[in-house]
Amino acid sequence: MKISAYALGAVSALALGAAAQADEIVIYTNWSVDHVDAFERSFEAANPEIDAVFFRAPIEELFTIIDLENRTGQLRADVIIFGDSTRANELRDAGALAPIELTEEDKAAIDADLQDPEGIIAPYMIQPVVVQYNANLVPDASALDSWTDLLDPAFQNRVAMGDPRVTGMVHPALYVLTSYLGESDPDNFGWGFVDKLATQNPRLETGHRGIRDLVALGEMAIAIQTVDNAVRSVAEGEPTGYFYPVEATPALYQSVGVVAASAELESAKTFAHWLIGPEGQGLVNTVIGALPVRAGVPVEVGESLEEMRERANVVVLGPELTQDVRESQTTQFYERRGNSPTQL
Amino acid sequence: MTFPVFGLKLSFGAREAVWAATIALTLYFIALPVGYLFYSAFTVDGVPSLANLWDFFFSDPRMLTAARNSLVFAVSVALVSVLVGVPLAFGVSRTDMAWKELVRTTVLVAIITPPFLRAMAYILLFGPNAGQINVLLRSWFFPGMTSGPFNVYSLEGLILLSTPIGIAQVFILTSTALSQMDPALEEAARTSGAKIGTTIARITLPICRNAILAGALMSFAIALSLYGTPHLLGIDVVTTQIRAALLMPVNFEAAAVLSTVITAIGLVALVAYRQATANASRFQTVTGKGFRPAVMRLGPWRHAFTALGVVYGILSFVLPYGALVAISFFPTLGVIPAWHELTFSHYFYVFTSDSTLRAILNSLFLATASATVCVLMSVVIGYIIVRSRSRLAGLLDYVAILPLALSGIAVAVGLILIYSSQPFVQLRLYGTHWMLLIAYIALMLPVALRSVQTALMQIGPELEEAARVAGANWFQSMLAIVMPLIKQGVGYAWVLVFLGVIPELSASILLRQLGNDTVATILLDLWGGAGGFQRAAALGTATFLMVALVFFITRKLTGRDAFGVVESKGNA
Repeated sequence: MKISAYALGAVSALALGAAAQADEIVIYTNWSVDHVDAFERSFEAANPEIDAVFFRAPIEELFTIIDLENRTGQLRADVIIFGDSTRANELRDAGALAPIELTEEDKAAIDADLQDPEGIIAPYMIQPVVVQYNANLVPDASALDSWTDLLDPAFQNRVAMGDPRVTGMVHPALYVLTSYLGESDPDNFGWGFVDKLATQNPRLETGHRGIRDLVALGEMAIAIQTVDNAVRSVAEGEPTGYFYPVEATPALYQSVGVVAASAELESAKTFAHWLIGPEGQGLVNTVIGALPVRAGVPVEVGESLEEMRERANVVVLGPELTQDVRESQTTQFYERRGNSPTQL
Repeated sequence: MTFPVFGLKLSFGAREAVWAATIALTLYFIALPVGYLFYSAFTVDGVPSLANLWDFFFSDPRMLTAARNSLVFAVSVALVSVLVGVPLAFGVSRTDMAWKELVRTTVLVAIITPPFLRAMAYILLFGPNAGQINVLLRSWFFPGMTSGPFNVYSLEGLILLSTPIGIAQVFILTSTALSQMDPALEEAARTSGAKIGTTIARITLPICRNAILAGALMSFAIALSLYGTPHLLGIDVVTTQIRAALLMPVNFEAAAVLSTVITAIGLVALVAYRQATANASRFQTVTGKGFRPAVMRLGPWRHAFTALGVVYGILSFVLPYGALVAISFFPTLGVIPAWHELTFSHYFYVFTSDSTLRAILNSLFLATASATVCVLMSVVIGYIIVRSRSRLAGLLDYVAILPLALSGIAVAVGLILIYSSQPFVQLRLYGTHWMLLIAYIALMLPVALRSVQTALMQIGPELEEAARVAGANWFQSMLAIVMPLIKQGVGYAWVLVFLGVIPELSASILLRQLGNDTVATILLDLWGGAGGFQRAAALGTATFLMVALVFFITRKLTGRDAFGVVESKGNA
């Protein structure tokens, strides 16, 4: 990307507003900066006629911005990479998204259960949620395999998780703990589990990369973590490990959508097709560390869904996590956790 | 040109046009967002109502806890700032303590250090489990402990981390008063046989009472408006709740109510501050007459003051920046590297990444634009206040310093409310650099005004009158007479605003949009989840060096050894 263009843009934006360049598409995402840089380079190399501009923020913040932009009639995104399918469904139902129009080849390569029946949004990634730990602080890592390990008194004040108000990727974990497992094993799970977790005084962070850093430092011993951060942490030599909770490992499939009002609709669709195509799907695994949705794309980093399923009950989630469910989870979580740990 | 208005003939020339435009801009930048906040908080469907206040504040225990935390936090910061800042100011200004210049510099550095940067460093040092100082202390003194002894993730941690900026306020105001005081009373006391301790307690400190009070109130207001540090430490205060109210599902009413609450508390502090400084004239021993009070020889006590200065310098500067610099060279977290494994890669990232470079450029551009607009407005506003004897001048003075009571996050909420509503939504300013620029101008105008106003007060009106007699109009006399005489104050004001805008976080984080990330927002983003602690540390270190360079060049060029009265609201 041209930095000089941004400097000029900062000045011109004052006078002209946010006038998009002819071949520029704006992509809203919750990816980390490393992921953004890698995807941007690869996409622009494959599509030199399109300039991809990414804007990243934590999921909840990102959708706040989208909401405010919608209110002011100034939605600037051409492509939205959704942290979860629910938000995608909501915008789709509101008529804000244009059909991506999967090719027959795409349809054949992507699990039909994940595909949008209306063909408007498209799945691009499966993100399992795991438990990450600091290997120096866990005496016997091989003994860890359950959500209940988070409740070990040895980890008092050393459990980290995403703040449900800010980061959407903690909601799949809350969902399986309270609803999915709450129904099948109410004695050990359900909101009672969260009550017990609250007594551990979990540290809430706004992003999973921050959680990874705290676990790597040893400030936190164990955490609810997204698989991409867990995988990359191990790959980069940090003293960490992770496991799939055997009772239920949530795996959220995430979608990409194209804004109907985009001035660069075709370019936006080109990006979406590239992302769900072989190259984009390869990067989903090798760069992000998550699972591709496209069959035939090798899983080089971490484990495939099938391999995970050999050791844990992997629960693929999508539309279950509605806005109402997330809001309810956030409210209940805070009620049970109490206010700030430093409340007077 | 003359207009008949309500039976009066008002002369309306170029000067009046400039005045009117400046007053209108001041109202637009400051009064409009504040007014809209109050309107949104105290109306329901346009009808005056206290329902929002009840629903989103008084009936919500979480908000009450946040408000209580905010008050305890702000009061504690003010108290600790006085307890540490006054002895430091006294030691540096009036005693024979050692390393005075070093201590003075260290204290002033707090003003240009974003508080949340210090918080990042202290998480690395005093994190209860793996903070390096805690680990060291446990290994030396508490081998049985697995956690602590310090916990940065606490209200106490928040107070101590936020205190340096309060100490700097108290230090600046008190040391200025101490160095300008008439020594006659002290000498009289000593001649009458009073011991040095009695003289300090009975004479020196009471004379500085108003300066100390003003410093304490500024510390209170700054702490109240902080967002970054409580956010990083996970402590619920009003500012963090305002941010939470603007996350999905967006609750404008709650954000407006909370912003109003924090603004109201800030206004009380501001009024008290105005009272304290307005009454300063009663203490005629503190003047600008160029006294040079004698240095007090403290004997062995000088070592106590030196020790206080050294401990403060270590805690507020050496340790945090040492930690940030160290980790910025670490290749991998959680593994102590050998010397040859240290890496510059995180700095390489900072200076090659599109997002960080864009943020740096945005910050530089916005700081430059804000400083320029603030200074231009300050010259006109300051001139009206100093030269005009109308009620308008008094009113303008109050409106222009109003932002001292405002949190950046409250200003941002006001701006979002305005520019997402009719008719202002038609301006399509939401999400543009304009929004940030307006917020920065609103927040930093008092900082520029103070410096410019002080410079204007030192010029008698005779020179301008002479120019007018010689046929010069207002513009000509301003350009030929006034501006050359106040250029140092103007330049200083420009730098103060520039330095205040670079690390501004609390407004920036709410107004963050595509393409308008600033250094502060990208720093928080890197730390919180986008890029990792080491990159955040590298960017924080680089930002500090950049700002410090401007700071020290300015000190060198202007020859001013203190920051004047700096109401630094920008780095919350």
